[in-house]
Amino acid sequence: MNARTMTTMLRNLLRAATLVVLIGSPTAWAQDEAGSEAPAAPIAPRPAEIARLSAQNLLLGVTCAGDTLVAVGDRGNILLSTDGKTWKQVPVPVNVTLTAVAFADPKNGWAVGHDATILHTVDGGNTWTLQQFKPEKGEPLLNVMAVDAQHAYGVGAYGMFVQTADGGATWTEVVAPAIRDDGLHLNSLVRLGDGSLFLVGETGLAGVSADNGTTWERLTVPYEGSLFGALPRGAKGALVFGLRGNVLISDDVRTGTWTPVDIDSVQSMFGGTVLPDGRTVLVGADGVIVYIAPDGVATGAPPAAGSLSGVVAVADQLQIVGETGVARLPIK
Amino acid sequence: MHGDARGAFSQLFIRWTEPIVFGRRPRTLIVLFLMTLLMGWQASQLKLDTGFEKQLPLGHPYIQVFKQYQQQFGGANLVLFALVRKDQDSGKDIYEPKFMATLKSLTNAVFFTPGMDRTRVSSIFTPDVRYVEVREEGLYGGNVIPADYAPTDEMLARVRSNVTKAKVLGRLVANDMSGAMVFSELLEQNPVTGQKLDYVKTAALIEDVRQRFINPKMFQYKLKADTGPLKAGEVAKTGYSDPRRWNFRFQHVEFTATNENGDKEQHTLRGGDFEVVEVDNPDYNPDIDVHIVGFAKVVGDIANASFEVVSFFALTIFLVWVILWWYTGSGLIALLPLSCGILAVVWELGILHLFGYGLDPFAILVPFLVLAISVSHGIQITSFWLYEVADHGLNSLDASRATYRRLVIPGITALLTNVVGFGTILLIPIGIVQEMAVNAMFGLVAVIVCKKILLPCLLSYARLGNPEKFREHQRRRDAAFEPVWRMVSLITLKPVAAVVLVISVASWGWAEWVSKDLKIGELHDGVPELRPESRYNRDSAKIVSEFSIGVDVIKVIAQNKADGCIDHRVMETIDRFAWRMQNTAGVQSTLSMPQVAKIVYNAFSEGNPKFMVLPRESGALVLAGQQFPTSSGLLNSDCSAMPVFVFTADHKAETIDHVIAAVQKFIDEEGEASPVKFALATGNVGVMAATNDVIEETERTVLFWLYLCIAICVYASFRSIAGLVCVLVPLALVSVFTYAVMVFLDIGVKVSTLPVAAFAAGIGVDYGIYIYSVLEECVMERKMTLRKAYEQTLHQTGKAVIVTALALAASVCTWLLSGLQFQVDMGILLTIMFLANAGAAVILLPAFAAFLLKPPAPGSTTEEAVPAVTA
Repeated sequence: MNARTMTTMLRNLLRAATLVVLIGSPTAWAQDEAGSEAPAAPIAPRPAEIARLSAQNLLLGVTCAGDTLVAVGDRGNILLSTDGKTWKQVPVPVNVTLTAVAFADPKNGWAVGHDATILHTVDGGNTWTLQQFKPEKGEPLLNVMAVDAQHAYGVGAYGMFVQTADGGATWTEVVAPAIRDDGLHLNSLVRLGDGSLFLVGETGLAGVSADNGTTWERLTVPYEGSLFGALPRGAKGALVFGLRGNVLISDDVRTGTWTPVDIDSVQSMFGGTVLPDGRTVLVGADGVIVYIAPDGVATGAPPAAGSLSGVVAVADQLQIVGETGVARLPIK
Repeated sequence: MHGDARGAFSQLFIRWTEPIVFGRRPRTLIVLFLMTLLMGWQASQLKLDTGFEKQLPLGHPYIQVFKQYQQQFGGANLVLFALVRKDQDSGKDIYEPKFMATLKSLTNAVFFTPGMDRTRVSSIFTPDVRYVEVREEGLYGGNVIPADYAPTDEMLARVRSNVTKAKVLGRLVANDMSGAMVFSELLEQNPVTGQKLDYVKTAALIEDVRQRFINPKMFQYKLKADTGPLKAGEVAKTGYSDPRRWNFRFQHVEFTATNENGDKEQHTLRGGDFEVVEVDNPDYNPDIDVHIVGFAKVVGDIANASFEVVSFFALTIFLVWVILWWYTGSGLIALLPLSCGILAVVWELGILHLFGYGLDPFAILVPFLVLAISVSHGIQITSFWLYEVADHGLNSLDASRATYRRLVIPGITALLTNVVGFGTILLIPIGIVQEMAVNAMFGLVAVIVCKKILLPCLLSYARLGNPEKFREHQRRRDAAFEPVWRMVSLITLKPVAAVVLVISVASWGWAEWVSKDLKIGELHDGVPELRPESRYNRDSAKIVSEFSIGVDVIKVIAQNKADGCIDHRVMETIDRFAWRMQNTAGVQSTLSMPQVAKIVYNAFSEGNPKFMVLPRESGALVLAGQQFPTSSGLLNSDCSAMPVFVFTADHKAETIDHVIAAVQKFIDEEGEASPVKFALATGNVGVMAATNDVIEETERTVLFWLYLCIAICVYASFRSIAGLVCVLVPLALVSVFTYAVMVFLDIGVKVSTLPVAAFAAGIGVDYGIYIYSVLEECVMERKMTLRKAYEQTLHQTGKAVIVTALALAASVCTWLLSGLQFQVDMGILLTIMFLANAGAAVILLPAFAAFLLKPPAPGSTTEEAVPAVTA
């Protein structure tokens, strides 16, 4: 790719891409007829293809459903494993890229993804039903949090924020103007130690809700770049991570006091989990794996292959997913 | 009955032609001499002519797709130079001052190589290779090797980190960092002069680039006399490959010199005008090796190997001469059939040029075959002539006339059978094979003239120094063979014949069973034209193992409406197809527009892997796709066609079939409504797929027509089913047997081996025709018992058959030394088939005759159907 062209473009240019077409793009074929064409027939969901290499292909989220590991990713691929070594792809009614997966209990869980897709399972991930699919807008859900078998939240691009109180039979918009009005990407939603909900997103966006998502308060984090994820820390605190190796910790997110953690890497961090011993592990671009002790001291680990997106700890092993599929490494 | 027709026609033909040939021998010789001069002059103008197009089965639908898109996707003519550490096992990598210095020099050397598109030369030292970082304020990029590069530890560490960021691992830097790559692209046409790229010359220049870094010495061309602005003794040119070979003095050497006005002058001198001095090479780096792949290098290596084959011709001639000497007992007489053979080759090449053809490396074997056929007929003629001289005490002229009378008809019949046999190769719709068939047919015309007219004429002048002594030598040697012939003639006894037939049927069955495993296509890794252990194929294997670069590719063209790149439906379909292909056994990786567009979209989305998708919005697709020019080879100018590169693990037929079947399955599943039409296929493996298809389809047809034609020719000459069976069945058995051999030797049925069957059967039928014609004559006309007749046949022709087989084998076995794999394969198969055909004719033919050849009823008359053989 031509880097010089890219450097001249702003980070958020994608959103303005339609504008680029209007004012004339450098390539000839940008003068498209797409706009003049009659609207195509509604796009029907196409089932995911069971593929030989799905466990070695882009996976974005991983979690535990009881004793079963569930990983989701590219092309609607959902894979299950009981030992972290052998993975079995299960049928999924849609083949769009799935970005996150969460379980309320060993049986009930949701997976979300592009085209605002929401998939639901009641049997520990073996079968999935499609609860929401909105290909017309082409906007992705980026994270999901399952509260219990009935309640769950999904966050996504351009301020998308949905919830259900009936096991996913209906998904409704969350009213949170403080968080949503700027139309920023909402990247991650977690529950803090005291039970509050905490979310992070683009341009250092952070928000908290003490009443299970009914009302939201916007917080300030001393960082202007994207925050890709958050993890609970103590009762009221959190660890947030994002672009270019930026990691910050706070003992109370509401105070606005954050301390940077030096992880000795300029790679973006995309996923993380809290280990049983209280340490945090983060994974990110170019296979970077970093352990962060509760006191904020980071230790690097030998990198894995490709960009990493999600991690979960099972006994003494890290189960990591990313660009090159599943990886399993012992906890350092 | 059959004797009448044959006899009548022979009589007529001989009555007409014999006086013309022998009436005034000097006239005949002068005419032939003048003709030879003409042909020699023509042949001397023959050019080596390589053509890629000729190798394609043009009628095949894949090739039509190939032709359709050939011009649309640029960037195909890559040459890759991989600089790899030889001491990589010691854990050393490229981040070391000396390696970096060599890489920089290599990049420059490639850049300044004539014929290169300088804007497309790429290594970590070129400014087009940049790394990109996502920063809060946007994207930030820089050169991988900073402008202020100096070989310090600190800087090398920076380069190492930039390489990671630039994501060039596996492409410009080896996966284990033990090597680096210089990508380059050749210009098909010189933009200044408009001249087409001279591949062979460019390949030599490319090789010189390699030698510059791996050769401890370099070679200075010092002028012997003043030339242009340069004085005698000045260095006009520096090269890195040792030019001092036997033919250097005659070779053209080009060099440029700057005159007093500062202009560059181009000069061309002969190698003999220079004194070549060997000096130490300052660029030599003992720790590295340079591996090169690219179409131009393949062409160069093939051309070099083809020239080498020409030198085998001398060896072949020598071998054949030795065999003929042993046979005739006189080195001088042996020269007669041999020189007639060489003349036939000259004629063949002359006719070839006369008809406007060039000599292709693929068809360079035809002259060898012509020599072989020519010699085999020469042996028959010389043998008969010797027989007349030695056994019947005729003088040279009478012996020659007798030979002519006796052999001109069966000889021409056999040759016409060959022509027809070779003609069936024309059924294979691949230009290069058809050209080979035409070439071979020209050769046979040349053989008829040189052998049937010239040789008897020349023999009539031959004088045996001491006829008595010569006859004695012949008799002594014949006596040595007598017990052997008597033994072999046992086969004509019915019980023995039965056993032989049972054994042959059993071995036929066995061969059929083994040959079920016969594969179509190429079975070995690397470029199939070159030997697996050739430098090129070793280089290619090294590059494939050190870098993430595939060399075997089927390109499937995704055809859609214009601007398909910004239509999500189109892109998604192609992406799904590529994913399906990637999951197909035998596929290593895939590359297509949607895949790279996803990566770009991901880069624009802060590198967040959750955005590694094809956006639905066409505006976003514009952004993701505009990074790629047509020269990337991933799209055509209006984006109505996007090739999907399917890199395969190898190019075995099974792999190809499997991948093609998977493509077809996807197309069927998509159905008519699909926004994308997937068209098979281009890429080197795509072409192989088409070729395999054509070969699989035509193989049976060619064999059918081959045997039918031979059968008709054989029947026409003998007018009996017995003759047909006796000649044809051993031939067919050898064919099947050869298939079994191919299975054992891992040789597939391919463009080069398919004609072998026709060549071998076409030539192999000669043995049968000669043996059967004498045998039949002995039984029918001379009323001998079968056993006696066969003994007599062997006495007359047996030696000749053995010597012919040896001479044929000798002329093709030298191909085993060739650097070209297809010549090696052809050489092995033809050697085996020529020997096996002789064996089968000697052993099987009498076995069939024992049951089929019935002595004539006592009442029938013989008339004078055997004018030639004096009892």
